[in-house]
Amino acid sequence: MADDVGKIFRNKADRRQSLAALPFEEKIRILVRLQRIAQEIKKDRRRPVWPIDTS
Amino acid sequence: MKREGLFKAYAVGGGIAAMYYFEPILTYDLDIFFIPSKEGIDLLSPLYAYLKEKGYPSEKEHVVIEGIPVQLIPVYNGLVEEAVKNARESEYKGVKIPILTAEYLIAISLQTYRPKDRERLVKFLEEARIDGFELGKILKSHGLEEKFGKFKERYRDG
Repeated sequence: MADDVGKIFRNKADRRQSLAALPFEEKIRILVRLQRIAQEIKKDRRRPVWPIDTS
Repeated sequence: MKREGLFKAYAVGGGIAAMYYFEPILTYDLDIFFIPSKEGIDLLSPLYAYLKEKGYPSEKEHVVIEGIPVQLIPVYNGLVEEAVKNARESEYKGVKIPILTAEYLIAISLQTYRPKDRERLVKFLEEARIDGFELGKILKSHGLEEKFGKFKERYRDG
């Protein structure tokens, strides 16, 4: 069990490292997608989705 | 704005700059640190006036430029000024933009040390590539070595 949990945490850390290594433009696309998701959950005019094409 | 003489130098800081070095995080503001052209008390008014003329009015502490809330922050101490002067040249969609380096962002986060700065420090330690020599130099010259050591100890202890 502890080994499994350890493996999950290691995989999560690896995933974060691979996201950290993405090109900056790709990170901005992900950021805008995150903003859209947040906006769908809770509309907040003070927290606009950046008008950047993510396609 | 630099060409117009409104400031001497600028660089992207805050969450967007940090995200350059670690995984994408949810943020809404684009923080721009700048070195003013002139000394004075009201450093922001000339910038706000210029941007308003260009069709970008200010809203509270932001100027919304092309739909993006931008916060203009004059350098407020020696560390931040040095960070702007030593920003790395990066590129976004073919446009060159100066971004604060990871080492200076760590030092600034240590100095401001709000809860979100501490979160960022953890992410820097876990995900970013840091030049340890450069970081050591910056921390030493701004008296932040001990604080960083204590932070790392606390971080290791979970």
